[in-house]
Amino acid sequence: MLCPPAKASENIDLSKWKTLPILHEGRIKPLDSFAKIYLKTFSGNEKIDNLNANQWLAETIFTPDIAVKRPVHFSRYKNLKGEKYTHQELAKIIFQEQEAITKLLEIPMNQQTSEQEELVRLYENFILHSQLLRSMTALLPLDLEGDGTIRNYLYYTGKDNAETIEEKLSLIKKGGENNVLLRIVPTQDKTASISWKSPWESVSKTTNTAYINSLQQIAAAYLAGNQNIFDQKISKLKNLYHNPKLKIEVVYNQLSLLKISSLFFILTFFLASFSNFTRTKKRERILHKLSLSCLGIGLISLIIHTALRIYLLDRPPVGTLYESIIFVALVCVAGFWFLTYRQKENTGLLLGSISGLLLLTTSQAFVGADTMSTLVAVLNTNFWLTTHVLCISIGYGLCLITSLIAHYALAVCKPYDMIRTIKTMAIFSLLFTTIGTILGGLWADQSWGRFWGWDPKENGALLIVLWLIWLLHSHISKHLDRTTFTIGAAFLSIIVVLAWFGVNLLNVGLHSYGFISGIAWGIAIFCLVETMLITALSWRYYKKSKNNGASQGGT
Amino acid sequence: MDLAQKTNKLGQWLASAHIVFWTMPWLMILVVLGTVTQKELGLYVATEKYLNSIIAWIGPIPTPGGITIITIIFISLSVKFIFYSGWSWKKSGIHLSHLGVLLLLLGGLVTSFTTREGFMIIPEGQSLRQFADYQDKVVNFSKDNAIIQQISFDQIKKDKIIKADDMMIKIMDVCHNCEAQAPSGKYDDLQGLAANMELFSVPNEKNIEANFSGVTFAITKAKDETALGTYIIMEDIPKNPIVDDIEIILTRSKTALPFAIQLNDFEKINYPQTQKAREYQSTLTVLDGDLSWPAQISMNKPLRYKGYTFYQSSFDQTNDVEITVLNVVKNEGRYFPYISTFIIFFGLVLHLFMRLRGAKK
Repeated sequence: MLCPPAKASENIDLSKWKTLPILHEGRIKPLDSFAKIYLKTFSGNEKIDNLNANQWLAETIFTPDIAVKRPVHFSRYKNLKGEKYTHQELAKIIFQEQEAITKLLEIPMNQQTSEQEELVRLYENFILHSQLLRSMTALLPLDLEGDGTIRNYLYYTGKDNAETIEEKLSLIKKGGENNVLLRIVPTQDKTASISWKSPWESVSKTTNTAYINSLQQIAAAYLAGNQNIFDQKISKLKNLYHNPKLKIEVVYNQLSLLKISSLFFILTFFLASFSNFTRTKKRERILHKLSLSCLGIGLISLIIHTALRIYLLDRPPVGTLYESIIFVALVCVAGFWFLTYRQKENTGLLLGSISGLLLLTTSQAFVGADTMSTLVAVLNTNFWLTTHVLCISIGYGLCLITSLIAHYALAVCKPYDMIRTIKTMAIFSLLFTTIGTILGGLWADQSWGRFWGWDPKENGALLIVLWLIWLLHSHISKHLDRTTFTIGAAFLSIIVVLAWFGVNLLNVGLHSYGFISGIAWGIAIFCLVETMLITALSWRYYKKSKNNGASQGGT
Repeated sequence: MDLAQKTNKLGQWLASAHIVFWTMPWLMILVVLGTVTQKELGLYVATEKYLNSIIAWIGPIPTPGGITIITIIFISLSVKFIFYSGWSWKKSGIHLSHLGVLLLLLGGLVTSFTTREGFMIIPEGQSLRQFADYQDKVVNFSKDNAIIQQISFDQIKKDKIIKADDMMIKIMDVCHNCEAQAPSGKYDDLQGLAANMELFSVPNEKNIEANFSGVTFAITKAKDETALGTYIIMEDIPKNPIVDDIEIILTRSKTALPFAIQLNDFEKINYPQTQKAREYQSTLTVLDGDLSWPAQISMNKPLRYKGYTFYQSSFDQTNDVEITVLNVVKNEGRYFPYISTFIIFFGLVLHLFMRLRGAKK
């Protein structure tokens, strides 16, 4: 590896640097997001050793000599499990497995074993990391003894070393070939639209010279540890290209609003629980108000999180499975907050905090390195995302609220008292899931030319609608009494999970953008645990009713 | 009990919630079966087996299929809605919702009987005046580029003898999904492609459109039974057998359009500096008689003209000439879901409003 002087500048403050723009995966984002994505892709974390993502990225691109020696790559491959490997070590592994990798690249992903997938992942990460390490070498000074000039170097080391310099230059240039990952130079083309170039693309073509010069000075300032010049030159870049969203995205990254929400949901749960056990009315009231406020703060945090994503991505916050889980969490918590506000009981606080926590925890399983990726073409329509996907997601949320209330009714043996709330919530759920499902059909009519095609995703949504229609009609016709209706409503959680996640496992149909793998066991365990829980609660309820000698199975 | 009473009793039974109570769980089971089996059978076969069927065979046991169940629900709901609704302002939300569902089911019925669906593959710079069916295939006998006889592929069975012009054609073998291998020596007097390959049946593809059908047949002259050889035809191959000036072609069934569509340009628009598509777009000219005008089709933005709707379905940019694939649909029932959505929405909202107002009182 050919690199500039190996001198790290860990003390340089990068708060201005991280708001600089970069075009990555079709979206202009701040370097802060870019750094987090790649550090997470390589190491699985957003921090490494004592460096945050921005420090790591700066080290990688400005001082690659140091960066290649930092253990950053996590591995699950064969006997390399559990350790972190440097770029140099990974290079050796890739070299040893080169033949196997060449063969693997010809095999489709879905036919690879987990070991093979891991080897391909390591190889791809190695290529990406190599690109990053070499991304700025065109702008960095050469690592030459003396004062850094070729003249001085040759004078002290002898003329024979001219070949070494040539070799070095040739190697540096080779490293810059097709090096396009770090697209940080905005360049106006003939049509006045902005295209983005990497430093290597910029030095080899006529591009934004002022911008590239400033970048070179930033690199020099970083290496010299000169904070003033570093910040001055960044400010100059910001004058050349301004985008208010970049700062907001950095703030969004820093706030960790989901963690704040989770924290307040935990607080809500404990305060509401204490409130149930407290002896005085006054204390109970205070604890109730406090926990309601905590749930409210958690909810506000979720709302801000969602609003920021809408602003940053210019689309409704339900484009991916990860986003839809967070949105459903918002619906659940808002629903329970509203119910608690109206009914002045702790039930909604407990259920709201539990549902919020469970859903936010689940969302982490789908988080990925980049949570703000661009959408596939068929989803790239704000109208249908806003109408169909929002509507069906609200429907999912309302179904979960109905199911949780039904669980609670069985747990506290009160299906008789809570039937009206469960029924009302079931009708709300039916409204949103039915309209959402039909709107999905209308979208399909617009995109694929047919209203209904029995596609797994469509069938999943239909299943929820049919279950709700069956429950409500059977209860009205007295085929299901209050208890069995409540049990049926509790099972909504399983139906929703199967419709929401389960159908994606089939990997068939036109909803190919929603396919996922590796969660089959999670879904199976959830369904099993839920079935056992509802059965146990129902059995307990029936036993208790029998002991009380009172039939509570009226309609 | 007189006839009126009997009819009333039957009507009451039909309108009762028993029907929903017993049919709905079965419909849910069919939906689950029709979904889960798509992994093994493919979408088309699975839905035909369980959902678009009158009888769904579960192993050796015949059970009511999706069409039967939906028909029963439709009849029950219609009887309930028309004769036993108990019209009142309080129940208006429920009635509206039921009306919406009835319209939705009616729309499904109209759609299933009237829809024509297919696709057009148009290379850049060319125009097309017909579309091909996704499933239906036909064998055409053409003379001087004019079809003189057409037989549905479904009617072509092994050992069947077909008369075409003055030829007798005996079907030796039919495969819905074929694989070509070297001739085994099973047939004599092999002509054309058959001299180099023989067709063998292989299991159907999950995606039924990917099946590659073929027929092996022997031709004799009708007059004097002179053998003219054994031939094979396969779907949409460039060179078909020509016997006594008659070309025999196996192709997808085509439907003529009352106008033509010309592809001027196809574009795959990516997100900036990525290979990820943001939009697929076909720039076209509609040619109808002496009139012509420009049109554009992209994702979620179809072209509608004279009852036909054209959607961006696929594309091919691997060759010099770009190709667009458009999905073509003619559906007389396409407005039903739009109308029923509004009715169901207002019905359920009204019902909830009444319910919440009742709770307040």
